[in-house]
Amino acid sequence: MINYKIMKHIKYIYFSVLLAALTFVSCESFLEEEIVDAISVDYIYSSPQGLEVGVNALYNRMRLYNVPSGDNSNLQANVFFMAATDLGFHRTWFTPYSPSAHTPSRYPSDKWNNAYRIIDKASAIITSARSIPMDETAKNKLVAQARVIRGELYLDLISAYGTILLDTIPTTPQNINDPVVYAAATTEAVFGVINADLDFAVQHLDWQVPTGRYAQGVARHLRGKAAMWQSDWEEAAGQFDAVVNNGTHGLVELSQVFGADVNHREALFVYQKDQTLGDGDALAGGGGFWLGSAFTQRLYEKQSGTDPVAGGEVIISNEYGGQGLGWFFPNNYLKSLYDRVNDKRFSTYYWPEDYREYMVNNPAHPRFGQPITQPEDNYRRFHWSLKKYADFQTKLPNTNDSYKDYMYYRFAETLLLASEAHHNLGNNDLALRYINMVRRRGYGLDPNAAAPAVDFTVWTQDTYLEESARELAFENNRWFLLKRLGVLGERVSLHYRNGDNTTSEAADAANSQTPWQPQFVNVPVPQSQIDIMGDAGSQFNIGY
Amino acid sequence: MKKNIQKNAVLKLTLVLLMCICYTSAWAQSRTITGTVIDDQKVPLVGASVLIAGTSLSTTTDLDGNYSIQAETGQTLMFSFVSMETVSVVIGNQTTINATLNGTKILDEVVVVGYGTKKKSDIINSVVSVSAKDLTKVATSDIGEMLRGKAAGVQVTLASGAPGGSSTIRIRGQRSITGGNDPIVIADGVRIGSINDINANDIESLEVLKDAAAQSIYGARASNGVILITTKRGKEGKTSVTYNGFSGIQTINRNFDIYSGEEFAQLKREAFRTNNGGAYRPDEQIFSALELESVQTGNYIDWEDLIIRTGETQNHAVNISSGNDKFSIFSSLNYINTKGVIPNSDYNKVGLRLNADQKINKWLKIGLNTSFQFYDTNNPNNGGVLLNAITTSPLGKVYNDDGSLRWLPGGFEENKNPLIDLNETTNLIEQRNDILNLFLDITPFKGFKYRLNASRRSWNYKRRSYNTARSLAGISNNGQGSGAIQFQDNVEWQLENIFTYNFNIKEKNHFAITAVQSISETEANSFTNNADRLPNDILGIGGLEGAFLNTPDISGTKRGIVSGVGRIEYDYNSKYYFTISGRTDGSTVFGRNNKWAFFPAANLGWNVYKEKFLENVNEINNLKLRFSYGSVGNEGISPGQSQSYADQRDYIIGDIRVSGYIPGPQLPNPDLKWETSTTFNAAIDLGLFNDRITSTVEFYNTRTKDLLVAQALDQSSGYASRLSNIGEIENQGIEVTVNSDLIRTDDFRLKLGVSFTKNNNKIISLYGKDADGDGREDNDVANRWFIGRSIGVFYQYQPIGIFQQGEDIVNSAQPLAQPGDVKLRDVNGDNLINDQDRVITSQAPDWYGTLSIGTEYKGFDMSADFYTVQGVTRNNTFLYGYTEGGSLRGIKNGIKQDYWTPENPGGNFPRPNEGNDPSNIFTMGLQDASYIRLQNITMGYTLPRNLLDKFGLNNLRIYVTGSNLFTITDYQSFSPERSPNEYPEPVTIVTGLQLGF
Repeated sequence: MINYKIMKHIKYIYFSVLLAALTFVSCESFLEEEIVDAISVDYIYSSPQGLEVGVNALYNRMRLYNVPSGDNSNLQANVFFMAATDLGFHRTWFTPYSPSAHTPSRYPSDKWNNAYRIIDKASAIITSARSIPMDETAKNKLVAQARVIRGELYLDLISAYGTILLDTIPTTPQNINDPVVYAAATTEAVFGVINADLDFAVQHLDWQVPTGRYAQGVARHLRGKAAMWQSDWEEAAGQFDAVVNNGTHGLVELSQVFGADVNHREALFVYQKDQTLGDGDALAGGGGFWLGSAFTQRLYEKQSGTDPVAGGEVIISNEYGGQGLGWFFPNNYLKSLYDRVNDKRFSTYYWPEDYREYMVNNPAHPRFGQPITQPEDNYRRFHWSLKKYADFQTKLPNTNDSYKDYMYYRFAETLLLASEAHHNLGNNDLALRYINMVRRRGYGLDPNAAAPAVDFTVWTQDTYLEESARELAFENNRWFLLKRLGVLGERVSLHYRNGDNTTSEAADAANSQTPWQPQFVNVPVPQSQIDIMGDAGSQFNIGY
Repeated sequence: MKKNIQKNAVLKLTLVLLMCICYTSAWAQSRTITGTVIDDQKVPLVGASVLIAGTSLSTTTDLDGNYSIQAETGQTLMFSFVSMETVSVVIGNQTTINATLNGTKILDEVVVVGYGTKKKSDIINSVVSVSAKDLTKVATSDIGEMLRGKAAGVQVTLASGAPGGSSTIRIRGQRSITGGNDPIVIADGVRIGSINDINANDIESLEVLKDAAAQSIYGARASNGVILITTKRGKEGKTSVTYNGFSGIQTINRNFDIYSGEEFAQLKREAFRTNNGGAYRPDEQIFSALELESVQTGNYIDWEDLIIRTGETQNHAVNISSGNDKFSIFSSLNYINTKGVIPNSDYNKVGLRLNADQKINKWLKIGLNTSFQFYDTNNPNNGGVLLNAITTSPLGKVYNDDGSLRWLPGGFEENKNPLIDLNETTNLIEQRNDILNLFLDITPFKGFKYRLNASRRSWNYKRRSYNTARSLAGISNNGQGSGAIQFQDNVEWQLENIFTYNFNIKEKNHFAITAVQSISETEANSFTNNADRLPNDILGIGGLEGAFLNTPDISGTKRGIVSGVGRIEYDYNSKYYFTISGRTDGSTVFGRNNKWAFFPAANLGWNVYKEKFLENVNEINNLKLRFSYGSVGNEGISPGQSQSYADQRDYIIGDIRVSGYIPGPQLPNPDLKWETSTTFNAAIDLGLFNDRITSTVEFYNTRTKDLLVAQALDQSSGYASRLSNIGEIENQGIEVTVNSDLIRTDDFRLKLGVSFTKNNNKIISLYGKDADGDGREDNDVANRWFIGRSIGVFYQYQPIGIFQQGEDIVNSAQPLAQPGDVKLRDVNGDNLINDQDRVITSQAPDWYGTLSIGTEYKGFDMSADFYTVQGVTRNNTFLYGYTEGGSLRGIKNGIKQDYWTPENPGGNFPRPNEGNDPSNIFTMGLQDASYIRLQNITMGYTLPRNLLDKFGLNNLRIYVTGSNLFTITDYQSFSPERSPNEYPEPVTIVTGLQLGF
């Protein structure tokens, strides 16, 4: 019966099947996936051009690591090391060393995460370069840049966290599931990698390179720093001397150090920014950096002297740093270190301490052009502020975004570190010569001409720490220097202050006494890392 | 009276012409059959359906139960009515056919299931039908919102309450972590993007398929359930025109207070006092001159009053249907306009639909479904506006002396004037959504059908946003404008070959065989251009060529899926049912070797009430047991994750831009494969006292294996996460629905309905590792996944109060705390607060349910729906966040709390602190978000027949509807499902009109 029916209607069935057959589509090629808006990873790791774009991207990621845009934990992670030292005074934003925030779960995880991300990509480039057929010299130059970055990052990690993980094998989809034993790396093993990477970089990098690129000078500077952590004074002094003697780098005029263009001979390495080439961390130009605002008072909020019609005496304008935040300030201890009259750094690296040096800039105000009246008792509106990162070129007055190039290592630090290294080798003449070069320049004198009025004649750790403070305050070295010398806790407890809006410094009942804990010499490894390591996590964050 | 009719006829004619210019229909010559349809009480049935079997030609009875239809001798007329038995009559020579419909048999209703329809009594899957009438009684433009509370096992939560906003729909809980949890929506056999791609008034029926066996036929994307929508089609007979429209107002309710001007000033004093060693400071040192003026004069700013307005909404829908024995057509026009409670937020939507069926000959038919929707949405800065209404300080002055808006009302940049951006920013989104679906049916002999179903759907999105030179962004940019323009285009096509063959063996053995082959592809392309620092506002974003900086962004994805399906259904005498099905799917998004997967399913059903031993039990008119077991796959991940690719990260060397590429933080996974959910479903359907009480109880257990999850990786590996297939989770639950016709007399009806859903979600297994050797599988703490707990949990410290003065703080677990600080629970009692003291709190609701009441008295009707969700916990950032005004610093205003001061030791929030957020205040956010809501209440009146006749109308009903009139909850927000800065579901009151002729 059924068969009969089907036979009867066979033509329709043929028709249906034919139609269906026509509309069937071949499956296998259809299911192949194509990516339309990104390039394959293989390209980076298998061709000379790929190697080069891979290295370029490492610079972009390093800029995110050290010069992030916006107001976020990544900026906090950077500001912490600049400001939470014996020279800093905290007003607001986040509270360094706070018992509820300086913990594995709350302390910014950005430095840790970003460093390991870049290390892994640098390792991938270093490893894959071996099998890329190309000119050896060109290849070594590219690999040297990846290696200086990896060495620099491991040096950052071990000096900040104390106990870290060491992994130079690039992660791939194939090896991610291999069994992992989370073991804290020995100091020797970490420095083994750092030394080897930086030695390779020193060997292959040129002294003279286009702006923005790693050169031999910065590689030697870093290699010397690493040697200092290993108390290898000989090695350190050798590297620093090479930088001093080469002549590529030298001290510039004081006003030039943080001047309009920081790509000068004193700079060892400068992160490049340019808003017009793309605004954002992921783009070529980089994002707006808030560092300058974070350290600048908000004078334009001053209420004293307000005219009922014209308003306040000070309006937001570039000459006073534009919009400010005033989150961290230099403290009174740092101020006490300066000869405020003769040491030109006091007026060059900082905004005026005396309110009478600021002029009323509101054109509608009757006192326009005259010195401002005494500001009220409020640190947010008026406090002695750092000017090193002020940006008079690219920062629009009503924003916090700065697109100025950012000098990360400079020759003055090389000289100071060299001074310490030579002192430790018993070579005090050279130690004094180097420290006095920095000091004389600070006083507006010729660095190379003896200046008995200001020159140190005796090298002590205190004079060294004080001179380093005067020259390098709020740059990225102080916290590490104090830690390396074993005086971080002592000095932070003595001088670092948490405060608030008011001039009664350190009146904050909760924070006036920085509750320094011995474990704070190492910043905490992120809880997310500890959680994933399970029981092995107990090797890290000792004391937290 | 005659004049009246003519006048109305002219009106009607005009309407018809306006609505469907494209109408063409050839009126064939066939006999007119008329008659009356009555029920067993001899009461005429209004709106009963009269259908010519085997065609799509039908009509409905009028208010006297009369009908008229064109038919030929030998055709069969089917009379049906909701909750009545269907009656069939073969047409002989007669021109009048009357019918009497007996009983209240819900079982004969026809329900749409995967690739076909079935009588309810034959359904052995887990399917819920929601009537179109129930949907459209909720005054909203969002069909998701209409569906809320209408079906057990379907949880609807608000995604955005903004004009034109949408909802999140979860069928039987969350079963996937990253694989997507949205059900697929199939309209007339075609997958559509969002449930709102359809006009509510076009819906003929809406079904939700919940168990795996029901879903298996839709397989690949059906693992989270299927929503089947059937739109209306033209019917043979008289042309019918209906209008449904409403208009009304919208407001929002909030269940929290913010600090008043005085209270905020005091909060600020307290915050400064804490930082000043406990001593108050003079007001002059705390407040700016502007603020001080407010404090002294008592003139505070009420931002909410300045910002929030009363919204308006209107919705008009006209449907026209007609047809003859060869051709039928349905067309509709829908217009929605909503002006939101935030100034400048509005939404306009115009929807057009045309469904046509053409019978070419006895065995060939073609059909066309088309839908076009045009939307435009204006929502400048919606989130920011509500945030600012709460958090902007009430101290200072709104306006400058010249009447313009003051940039910084209090003189501090933390509090910028939120009114500025209301006037100076625009964000216009224009969308077009079209669906074209063509099908061809070949029915060569009885029982066999082949359908070729082809469709193309496209979504076009254009966004233009602009901030003028005077906007807040413009002021920051030195008086320069900025904005963005985005064009996006998504296209999806689908081709299906569907074979069905139904046959019987020896009368009582019914078979149905279905085979489907389907292929579809989706392509999306987006181009965005961000323009910064435009020199002037003359052209707005149209002048982007002049911007200082233009940043383009381009992205595109493509994905496809191929499937083959087979199903055999068998039943013996409509008493015992057995179905088996299998499907195989291939998807582009998985790893090269894992693209294909096979998913089987089987069902059993037993109509117990048809057994002899129940024949004489009159109280029970339906008793059915159903069981199903089956698998479906989930491929809801974004494309490209199985392949290694690099992101563009350029740099500057020597002042020149250089190209850079580097892999991102997500590690690819070349072994990605299908996530599979296997569900066991057991259900009992019950009908008592002639369906006066009906009930369905379902139990289900879904195990989802190879979960697609973004697994957090060890950061030291250099990657943050990777999409992986891991572990197994379980969703187990029970759904109960009871409906009753409590009272049913000639004049008065009272209906009561209750539904209850409880779903338990837990992780069964993750990696199968036991590294710590405690005999239990290890949790994944980094990802917050704990064996035996639900997927979504909070894992954080638990606040247990505030430290008091005189308390022995030094010897507590927080020795450095100050009085007024948050005290945390030391879970393990080691007198230390560390990572061992974190507490797991589940986010998923314990249960949810609805209660609906409906009454009718003569022409009046009233219905009300209550909806409740219980046991939900949400993290309310407004209780602690700085930006959200929760951190008690006296800088931003916020939700008012009882904070601790030495004079108020009973305060349950920490002591305000100007310098920084109070210690551990971030632990204070978890709040019970359970709620009870009067979701909808409607009162209506239908004009009696004699009056309708006067106007020549078929139907006229006027009604008033209130939506979301009240919500009882502890969660401090505008909506318990949204954060206070997010657009809540509005309180809407509308009056409406339904008209038919």
